[in-house]
Amino acid sequence: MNPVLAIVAPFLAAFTIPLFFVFRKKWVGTAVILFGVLSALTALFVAAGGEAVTVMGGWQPEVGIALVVDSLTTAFLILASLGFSASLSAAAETFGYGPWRFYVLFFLSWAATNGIILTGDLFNLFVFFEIFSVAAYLVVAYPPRSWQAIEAGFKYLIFGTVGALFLLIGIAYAFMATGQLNMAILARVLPRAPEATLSVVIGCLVVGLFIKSGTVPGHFWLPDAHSSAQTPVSALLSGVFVKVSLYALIRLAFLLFGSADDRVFFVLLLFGTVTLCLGHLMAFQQEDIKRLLAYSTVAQVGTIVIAIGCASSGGVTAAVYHAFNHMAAKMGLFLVSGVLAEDRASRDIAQMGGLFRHRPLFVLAFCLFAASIAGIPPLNGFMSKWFLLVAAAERGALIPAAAVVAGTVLSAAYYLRPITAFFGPAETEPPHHRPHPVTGAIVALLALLCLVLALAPYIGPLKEGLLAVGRDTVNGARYIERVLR
Amino acid sequence: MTDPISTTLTALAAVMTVPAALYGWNAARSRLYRLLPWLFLLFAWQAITAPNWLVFVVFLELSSLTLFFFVLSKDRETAFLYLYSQLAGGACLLLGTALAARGGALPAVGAVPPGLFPLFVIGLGFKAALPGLHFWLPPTHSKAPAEASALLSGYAVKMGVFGLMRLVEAPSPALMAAGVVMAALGALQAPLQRDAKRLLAYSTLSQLGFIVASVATGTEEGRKAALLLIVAHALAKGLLFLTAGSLEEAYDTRDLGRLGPAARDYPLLFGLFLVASLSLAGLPFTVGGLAKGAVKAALADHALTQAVLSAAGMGTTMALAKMASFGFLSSGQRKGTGRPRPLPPLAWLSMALFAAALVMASFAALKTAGAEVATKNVLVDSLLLIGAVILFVRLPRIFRPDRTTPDVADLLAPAGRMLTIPLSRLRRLHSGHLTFYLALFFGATLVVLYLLRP
Repeated sequence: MNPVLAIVAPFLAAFTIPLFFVFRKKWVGTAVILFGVLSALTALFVAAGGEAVTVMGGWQPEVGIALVVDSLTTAFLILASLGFSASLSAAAETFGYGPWRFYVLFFLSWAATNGIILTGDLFNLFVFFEIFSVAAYLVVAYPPRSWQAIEAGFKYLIFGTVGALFLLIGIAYAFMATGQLNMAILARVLPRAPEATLSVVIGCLVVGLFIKSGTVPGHFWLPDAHSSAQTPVSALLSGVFVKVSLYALIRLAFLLFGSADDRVFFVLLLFGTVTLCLGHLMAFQQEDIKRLLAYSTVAQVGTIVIAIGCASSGGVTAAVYHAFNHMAAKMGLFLVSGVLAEDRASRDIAQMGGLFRHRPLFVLAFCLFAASIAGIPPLNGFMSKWFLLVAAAERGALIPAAAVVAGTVLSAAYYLRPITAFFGPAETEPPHHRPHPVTGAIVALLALLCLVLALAPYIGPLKEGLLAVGRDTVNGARYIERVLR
Repeated sequence: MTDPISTTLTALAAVMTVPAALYGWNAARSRLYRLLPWLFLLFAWQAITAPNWLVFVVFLELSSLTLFFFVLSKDRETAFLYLYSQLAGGACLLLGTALAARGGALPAVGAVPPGLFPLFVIGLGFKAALPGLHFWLPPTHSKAPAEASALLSGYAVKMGVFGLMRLVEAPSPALMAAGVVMAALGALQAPLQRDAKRLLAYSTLSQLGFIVASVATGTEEGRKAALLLIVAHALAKGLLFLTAGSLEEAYDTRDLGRLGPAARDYPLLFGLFLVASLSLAGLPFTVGGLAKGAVKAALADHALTQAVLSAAGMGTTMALAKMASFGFLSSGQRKGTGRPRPLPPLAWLSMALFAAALVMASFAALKTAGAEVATKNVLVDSLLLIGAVILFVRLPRIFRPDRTTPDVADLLAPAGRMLTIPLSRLRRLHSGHLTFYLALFFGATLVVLYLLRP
């Protein structure tokens, strides 16, 4: 299947949903569902189609925009499809189909995400990042009723713009130095640029992606955005949005930055470690359950950045594996805590007493996800942390590795606080009890996904796939050869 | 890996779990709780027979988790302390394993590269309660349900020691010093406690010191002696914790100052207590006595260690004398209310099983050791035992159960308070000032560019 369809399908949804609203209001719901299924299936088919390179319009790669499917793209396309589908289902249950504007933004961000993942062109990457970000700012502030959400969206906007600015400067310098924007060609010619230019280009791109992914000190927007957004959006932000920026970081790090020897990877290790420590320490002090989860996301972003900083195929494997694990567990955590916070009409952890009696299955799922994120053996979070530890040990990155294992103890400590509250006594009965069949089903599926991911190192094809992602991604020459063939 | 050590420990796990599971059968809150001891047994078996350190760590963590749920059923704060300490130990071990696995296969359970030895010792030290890392042990042992205390003290800490046994292949003076400190610390603290189970916990610390010192010799003889003491201590301490638990069950208190003449109400319980105590105190011809003799023989070249261990042995005896005196024989008025509650038959059965195992182990040990070894130090050992009892009787003021003793665990709360200062600084950084955020970010950008300079 032509990779461009994975971008076109959600775009089609985004552009036709308003038309449905104008002409056939009753069909909006059906259209949203059908387009959701269509978008997910197209992306999965593209992913299943195996490696492919398409240059748009039949031009040469120097001029046309290349879309590249390789193992890393495949992995992240699958991740994005799973995440977007889960979030869409939860959103349909939470919001209904009335707010069509939300779905327009939702599908726009989906299309842009697939675009970022598929594109082989640096400027095109920037464009998709902008579409993605603009949609994200608005989705975070949706519905625009609470001032916290609007403030969070505004903060995200400012930070996102600064990040985009740095990305743009980096890309502009790269273009000025080489006259090229295709990533495969850039990978060949960029090392010939003057050393100082190269440093600035790489510095700007790295810093821009730090903001987009929520790496310290570009993380300030993240806790606000995650905690103020509606539950399905928080899940999407944490599960997919930050991962997309990490995808870009992986791709650029090994394709373009690899030429700048170890300095880039040292920077990644350094900032990853700082991010990890800060995320855990801040999560430790939160009273708001969604802010706790948000800071935990910061810490997990740090973990993945450390994995990229290991600069080896093992490191990339660990990063991708951990990205999947974090997606499954953190989306689950956000969905569960959203439901529980709604029941209590409060996000304050101290108010969350007695919820185990109220919704035992949701709370048990929360425990599973939390144990998985914390890295309690033998769950999936533990497995990916082990992959990461081995990669870090081989790189000789002792301090990051120690920070990762210390994070286990800290995360156990802060996740036990809401869990203790859930199992504790309640002063009053939870005031609300709206049934959440769809969210419940998604949480169950995510829990199942966690268990499957825990077994991934023992399932031949999955293990082989994960290892292949690492091997192929690190081998930049292979990518270049395939695009320029 | 199968050798005498793993075979013995595998068997010991089963011998420990069955009575513990029976003891807790009636008290269990739900069926899931009845499952916990068996889960523990399963994980313990996997850990003991693990082919490499990674598998060992995973199952060690899982066994700790099952015990965490056990403790959780009775005291939440203690359970969390236990969980954090065990996770911290697991984290060190995991890091060490990853470093040892660098560029090759997973490291087999055994010696590790010299540079990683300290990391492994620290990791296992959390489990085996090496001095300083033992902060979790007294509260956990005293506040857990009795059957969990029996498993913790009898087996869980021994899994850490098992790791040390595999790890240490050459004499390690540092570890020996740690063992001596543990033995002395436990023996000093135990007789001063007023909580019966806390007293037993410190006695466990002291006995672990004997075992660790013996393992630290790095010789085959030392490991064998340690193994014998592990068995002796596990059975005796398992029985002691169950008797202490029964006292609590009957009188609703573990406070030695409040317990009354239990020997009159439950003569059989006192008999069981005596069986375990005498073995633990090292009465000649019991498995405890033989094991201590073997440990001292293994430490023949270390006169100072031997001397400290002998003194520590006297401390153990005094502690047990104190428990006997105040827990069972005190003539003072019992300050609890009502008559003692009858004990369930399963509790009697489980304690009888332990006692039977202890007696059988004594016979087996006697038979293997032979008459010559068994009678070698009878006089000295008996004198030490009697001396300790005389000291206890002559110095009643020291042992009065109305004082509390300081320990490392007391430092946890102030340390926690100290940590909140930098943490709140960190929180104040996230004040919501956008200008400050952006300034910080641009500063970091300069740092990145500086680090990337050609």
